[in-house]
Amino acid sequence: MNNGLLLFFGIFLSLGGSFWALLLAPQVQIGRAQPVVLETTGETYPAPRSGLAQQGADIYRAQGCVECHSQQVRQSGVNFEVWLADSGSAWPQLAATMDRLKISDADKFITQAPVKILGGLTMLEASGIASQLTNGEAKASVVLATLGPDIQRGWGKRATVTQDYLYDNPVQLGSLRIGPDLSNYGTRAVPAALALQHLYSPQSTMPKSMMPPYRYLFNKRQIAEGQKRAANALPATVEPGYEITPTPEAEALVAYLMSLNASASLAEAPVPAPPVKSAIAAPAAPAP
Amino acid sequence: MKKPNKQNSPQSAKPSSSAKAARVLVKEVGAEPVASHTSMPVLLIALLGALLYWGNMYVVQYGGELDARVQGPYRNWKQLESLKPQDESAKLAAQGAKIYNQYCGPCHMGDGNGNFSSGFPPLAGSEWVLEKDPSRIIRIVLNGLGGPITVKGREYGQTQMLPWRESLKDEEISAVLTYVRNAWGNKGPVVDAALVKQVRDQTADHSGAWTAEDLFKVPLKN
Amino acid sequence: MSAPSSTSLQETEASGGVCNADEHDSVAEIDASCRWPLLLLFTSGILWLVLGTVLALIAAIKLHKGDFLADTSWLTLGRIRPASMNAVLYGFSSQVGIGVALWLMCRLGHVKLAFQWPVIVAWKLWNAAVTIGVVAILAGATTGFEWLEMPRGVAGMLFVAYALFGISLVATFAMRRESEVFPSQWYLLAAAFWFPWIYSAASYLLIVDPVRGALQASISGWFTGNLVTLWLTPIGLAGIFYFLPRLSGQPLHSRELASFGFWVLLFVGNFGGLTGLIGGPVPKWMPAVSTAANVCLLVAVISNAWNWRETCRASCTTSHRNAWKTDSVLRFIFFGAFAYLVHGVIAALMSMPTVASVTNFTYAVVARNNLVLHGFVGMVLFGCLYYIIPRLVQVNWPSESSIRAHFLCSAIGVLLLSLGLGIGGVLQGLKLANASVPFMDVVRGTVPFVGLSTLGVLLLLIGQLLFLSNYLKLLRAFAEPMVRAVCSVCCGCGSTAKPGVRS
Repeated sequence: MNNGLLLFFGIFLSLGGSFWALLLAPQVQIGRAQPVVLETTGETYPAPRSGLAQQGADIYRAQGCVECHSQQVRQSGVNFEVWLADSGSAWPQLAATMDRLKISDADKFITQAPVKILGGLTMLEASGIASQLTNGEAKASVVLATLGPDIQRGWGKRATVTQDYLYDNPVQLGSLRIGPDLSNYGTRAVPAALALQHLYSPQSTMPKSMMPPYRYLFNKRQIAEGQKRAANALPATVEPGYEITPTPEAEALVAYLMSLNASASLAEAPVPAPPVKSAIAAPAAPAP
Repeated sequence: MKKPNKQNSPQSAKPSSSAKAARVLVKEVGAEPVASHTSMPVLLIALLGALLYWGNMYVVQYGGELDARVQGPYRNWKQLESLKPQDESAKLAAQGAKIYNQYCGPCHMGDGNGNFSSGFPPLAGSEWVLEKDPSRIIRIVLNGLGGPITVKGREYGQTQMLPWRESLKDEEISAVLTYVRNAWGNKGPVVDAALVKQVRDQTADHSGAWTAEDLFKVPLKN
Repeated sequence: MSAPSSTSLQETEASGGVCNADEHDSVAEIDASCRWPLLLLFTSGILWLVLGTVLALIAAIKLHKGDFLADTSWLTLGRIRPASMNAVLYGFSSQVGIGVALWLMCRLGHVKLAFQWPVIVAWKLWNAAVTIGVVAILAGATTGFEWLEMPRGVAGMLFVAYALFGISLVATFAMRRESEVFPSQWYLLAAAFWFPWIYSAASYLLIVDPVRGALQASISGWFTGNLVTLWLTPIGLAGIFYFLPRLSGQPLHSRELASFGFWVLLFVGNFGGLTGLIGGPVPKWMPAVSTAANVCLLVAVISNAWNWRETCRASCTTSHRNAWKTDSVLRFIFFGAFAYLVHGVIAALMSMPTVASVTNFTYAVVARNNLVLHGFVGMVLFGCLYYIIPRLVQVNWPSESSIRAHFLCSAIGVLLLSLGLGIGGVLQGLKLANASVPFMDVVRGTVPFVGLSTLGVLLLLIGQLLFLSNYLKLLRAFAEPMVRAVCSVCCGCGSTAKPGVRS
């Protein structure tokens, strides 16, 4: 190994191997991903962000939110549940079948349909039980359940996949969770005013929060006598005669956070879809 | 401030005398390090080989079969496909396929084209099968069919179709009819087991096989 | 007889080597050729380190008390942390690393530094780039990618500056007079080619012409992993491989073992950066390959550790056996070597999915990064500085006790930082994995451990300030005769001291 050229050749080979395996191959696999059309709603996914939300993404990057928040939901696995979608009309028979299958609280379930009967099963077990319960008008179905602490915490319905980040630039996955995961912030039904309040003073909305306040994203204005409060002023009063209004940056940031939604069901990341109550028309009897 | 101990003028003296050389040799700190040759322990090479093998097996097992679509907790694409929501017609058709191959296939053939010379009408593209209201074909399956019948512009009639009322249950008839209406390019709605039961009850006292003439008298709902 | 402290000059050094002794440049010539470029690099490096550590201290305090200095966007937590990391990584580790690399390459090749002026120009450009970069990060122009936060204009400047450094390094290697190539030189050559490759590829694919979607995450992981594994680690290893044999007075135990460790690091190590994406939005095979690579890299760690142990064991029978008690440089090097070992094992552990599902997204990852940055590379670089600087300026360190105090502060600081954040991170991860623990409780539970790590950062800062004061005194001692000579020439004061002769 005294030959400089041999050394350089070896180093170059290692560079090439790394380039091929971790830059080129992934580019071929995921670097040319396109938006997909969702089967259930017919919309393209991911939906492009509104202009304000795109500006907000830039604010998110510039404030370094990625240092404390992640945007990546992890899932540890799947299992299956049996849901009673429709109790039908033959309730005694259904109750008898459920007793035979050693399902307790059969009467409660029958009246509450659609309702989850059993959980934590494998696909085969669940299919078997569901097909035995499905009889005539009574319908039971097998429903996927996604597992994992992130999902149990309400941070998402499924793991995030490549498709979710298609329009993100830069992709802010994050590597530290000192703040909660934000990839599904838009699904948590937080009103914009509350989000702004949280940005202004996190301790006022969540007393135990350790998030620093972002007061510099807001303006403190004096209200003159007889002047009306601004339409977007924060509801909390800071001191009499003053109001707090968000700057355009704060509003853009909140618009971006509201646009964060990674819950669509994709082929590579299915979402649990429990049956919902629907009217089933009884077939009319034709006269022969 | 401490004065430096030794002055080293920029031009240092080269080891000219043996005394200096002796000093250099004794205080080996003076020389640049060299590496001596010692053969490598085979244990380490074996360990590398074992770890590389383990690494290979690990990527094979947990690497999602190198498929770009397999991410997160899923094992491979097949598992993801099995999780796709299966709609009712697909499930029912799958069941019906088995029944068809067992009971109907011998006459109507695996490709649903029947056999003209033997008098087995085709099911693929048949207007009877594709009729939206399945009342007529449910009757055929329950009680069988005899006499001439025109399917797809040709007349069949030499052979009588057997009744399946006693041999097949409502669910099985609904499954096989759903399959037939969705195979070989056919596209038709699911046949509900409840409807089959209704027709079975209505025709409970119909004896013998149906004829095409009688079937045309059965009103169709749309 | 106790071994002489290598921080002080007590014996004349002669040039050594296997062959061609007549054609070798003398040690004094080599050191003189390196003097000015390296002094510039080292001075700016230590200043960046102090700045980076101060920023890290502010960030650590903010993690306790959210509204500490929260009223200005320039000091918000999300900007101070990347600014501090970039200052330490590019301002200290890389600059001092390049300086040490140049000196090692010269000494091992028995040849003077190939180009002086390009190195000085590169130094100016590099520091300008890092200054603009850190200020840009604090102003909000961060790119958002870990350890690559400096904006794209800066990336270009840094790349050009590095090109000059790299050319000097490779030219020095090419012009070597010593035909036998020592393992340190392999590592330095590898680092010399890997840094521009990863930096330019990552800058281009993430900042200049960004790739689409989650691919950015994988390239960012590739960059951060390789910045540690194939830029900083080889420089640290080069330092250990040089100083352990030299200071213990024994030849390196096995060239073959060193070669084995080198090639394994090169071919296996470069796949190891994606363990943060385990369970993440990239094809599964990518983090799986990273896991396999991190575990296989254990072989290189073991082989290096074996090599060093055998080298030191051979010196146990000579007069050098208690050298580590008195020789500060050796203590820094030992600590660095030990930190390298521990880091290798921890990296392999944390790459296993069962462990990663607990430690990812926690302080444990920060602890691992700090272990390699401050514990391994930082300590080795300081050991090198303590050895190299007196030889460059031909002046001893004014205060030996400062050096010992610096070592103690740094060692305890690194321990507090790594252990505090490491244990805190594991506990944080275990609580995160248990969905019944409310998230606020998880975060509040990390505060005592962040407190320990803040103490660690404070100790590191104290150690660095001790070094800085020692260094400034040394520079004053170095500059004083020259200043006096210049004054005497200018003013024509009747000084009997001739210029060039120090009294």
